[in-house]
Amino acid sequence: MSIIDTLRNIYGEKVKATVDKYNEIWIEIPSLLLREVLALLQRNGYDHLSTITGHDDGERIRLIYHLIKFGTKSTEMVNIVTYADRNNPVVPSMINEYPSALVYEREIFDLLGVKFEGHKGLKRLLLPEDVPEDFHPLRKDFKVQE
Amino acid sequence: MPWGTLLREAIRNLVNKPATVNYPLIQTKVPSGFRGILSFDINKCIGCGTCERVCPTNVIKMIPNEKTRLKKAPRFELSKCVFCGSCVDVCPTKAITFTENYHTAVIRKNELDIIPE
Amino acid sequence: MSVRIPIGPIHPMLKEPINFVFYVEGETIVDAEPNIGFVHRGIEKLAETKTWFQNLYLLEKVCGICSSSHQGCYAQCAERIFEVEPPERALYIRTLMWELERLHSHLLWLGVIMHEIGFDTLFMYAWRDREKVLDLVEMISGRRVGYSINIIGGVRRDISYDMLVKAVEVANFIAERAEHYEKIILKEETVINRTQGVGYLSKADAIRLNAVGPTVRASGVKRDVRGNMPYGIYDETPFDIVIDDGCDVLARIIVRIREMVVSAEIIKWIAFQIPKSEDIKLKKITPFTKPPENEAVSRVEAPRGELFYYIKSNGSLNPERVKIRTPTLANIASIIHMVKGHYIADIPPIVAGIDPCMSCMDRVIIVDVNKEKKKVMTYDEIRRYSIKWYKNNYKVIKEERR
Repeated sequence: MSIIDTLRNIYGEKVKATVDKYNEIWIEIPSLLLREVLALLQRNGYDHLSTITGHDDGERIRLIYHLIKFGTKSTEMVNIVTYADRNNPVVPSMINEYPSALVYEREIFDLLGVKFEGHKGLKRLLLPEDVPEDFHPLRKDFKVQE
Repeated sequence: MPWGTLLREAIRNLVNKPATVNYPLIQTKVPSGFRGILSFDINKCIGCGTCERVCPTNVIKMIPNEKTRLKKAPRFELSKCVFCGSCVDVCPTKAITFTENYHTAVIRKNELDIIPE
Repeated sequence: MSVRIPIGPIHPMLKEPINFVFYVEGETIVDAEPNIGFVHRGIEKLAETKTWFQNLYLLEKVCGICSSSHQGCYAQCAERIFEVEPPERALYIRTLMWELERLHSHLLWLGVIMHEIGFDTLFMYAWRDREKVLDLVEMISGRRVGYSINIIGGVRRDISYDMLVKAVEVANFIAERAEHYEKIILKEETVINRTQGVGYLSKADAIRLNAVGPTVRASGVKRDVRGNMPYGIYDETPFDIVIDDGCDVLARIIVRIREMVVSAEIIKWIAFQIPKSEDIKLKKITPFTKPPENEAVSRVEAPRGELFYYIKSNGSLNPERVKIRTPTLANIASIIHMVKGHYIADIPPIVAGIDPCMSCMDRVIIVDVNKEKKKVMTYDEIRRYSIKWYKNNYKVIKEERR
């Protein structure tokens, strides 16, 4: 619980946090605070980034960063939720703090069209290079042809 | 001695029988409960259509038939089947069962179809 | 409508599809770039169009060797969304299948890494022992691979007394063989020469690059989902995290062999402690039940590392978003770091050392930076090249690595 208290002391109302019954902490922040909050978490020992999830819910694009702090007595799992605008999604890149985000951010750019500022070499990861520019399959308005 | 670790096992392998089976001259015996190709009994079917709703790969299609209570019967295209067993678990009268036949290689895909008469 | 058929890295004559580009100077590697995505099948998008129970059979086909881990992780995540707990006996059966899968996956990997080095005898012995495990799995579940035994709310089939007796027999046999292989590997000079000091990944680098699975445990870091965040019944079983301080390919082999012994212990414990009860699944969850609106996260220790699932539901019969992160994707950043400074002949053990599940390489492009020449080799060619190169340069390497 101490990480929720630390964030509430610094940011007050901008941070919404809940804990579910499987001991996962869900924290929601605006996208302007993303870099500061993740740098703060990394200084406090949350050094394992499991993955970054991207999800299009019709109005906005939700990004979730899943982090773990491994400890000898207990392990804490935190999920940071943030939003990006659907028509022009731009989010700061995290490769300086977490080098493994290099691969995860390329995957989200490929399948959802979110641009990460500061990422060197942001190109498609899974789909072939010769597909058109706005071909992003995980968006809700992308219809699969029969 | 470093070259003695495998030497004993190598000599033992000279006298043992081989580890492979001479298929197709000898057919492997499968244990009971094996999930092979499906078989269907039209006399037990009531035509409820639950098997069509649970199949993950669209193998089953209900077509009109006079023998069942609700006047429908399933038609199976077994070349798409993944042998998951959902239809076997969910059928209320156990009309669909697994056999022990694992030979699924055919020349044309529709040789494996089951069409109820 | 006409269909376009490209002939690329996926072709009947090739082995498995991944593409690396290596930049070399002479024989030493300077930089590397991975090129993945040849087996991308659009499973996450397809899972949004099928129901909760149909997805069980779709998601076990993501990987052939760790299929029960994928299905079990999805079932665990869906149980968190439906807000139900499976009965005790079902959790014991589910864990038994997970540990049997770990045994056969590590035996397969042992054969593959010995085949890369050229020690084909151990490859054949390991795969012969693996047949006993596969026969037991076929007896329990009906198939040798793709044994779909998990459903949402429990397991599908019960396990009988004869199957438990056979499981204890197989566990004792594999534990004895694993200790025999450990003795052989630590004494054989060819194996030590090709794997000691190769693919060095220090402890700080392993933590910084977020490596998972036996790769990170061979660098001395105690990270295992079964030990740190226990799920199912792992907080009651006799389980210890296995680590080693070698940080090279030899340490990864030793870690996996010792994990096989630990798995055999868990299987014997399950066979003696399984509760005698009748229910193995929940009656109130059927293929036509709708869940509440919810989202959940679940992690499972697959044989290759930490497997991660995130599912969101919107109250209908289809899930809204299914996100999968396989352990091999998390280890790719470590390969790039590990190959720098090594010879071309060291590529097969390093890449096979992280146990790539979705691929091995099929085509390697070697770009000689000084001479500006490009050479394309298939995977078989590079393996034969590496065995022959080590045979010719044996004495030089031995002096260098001393």
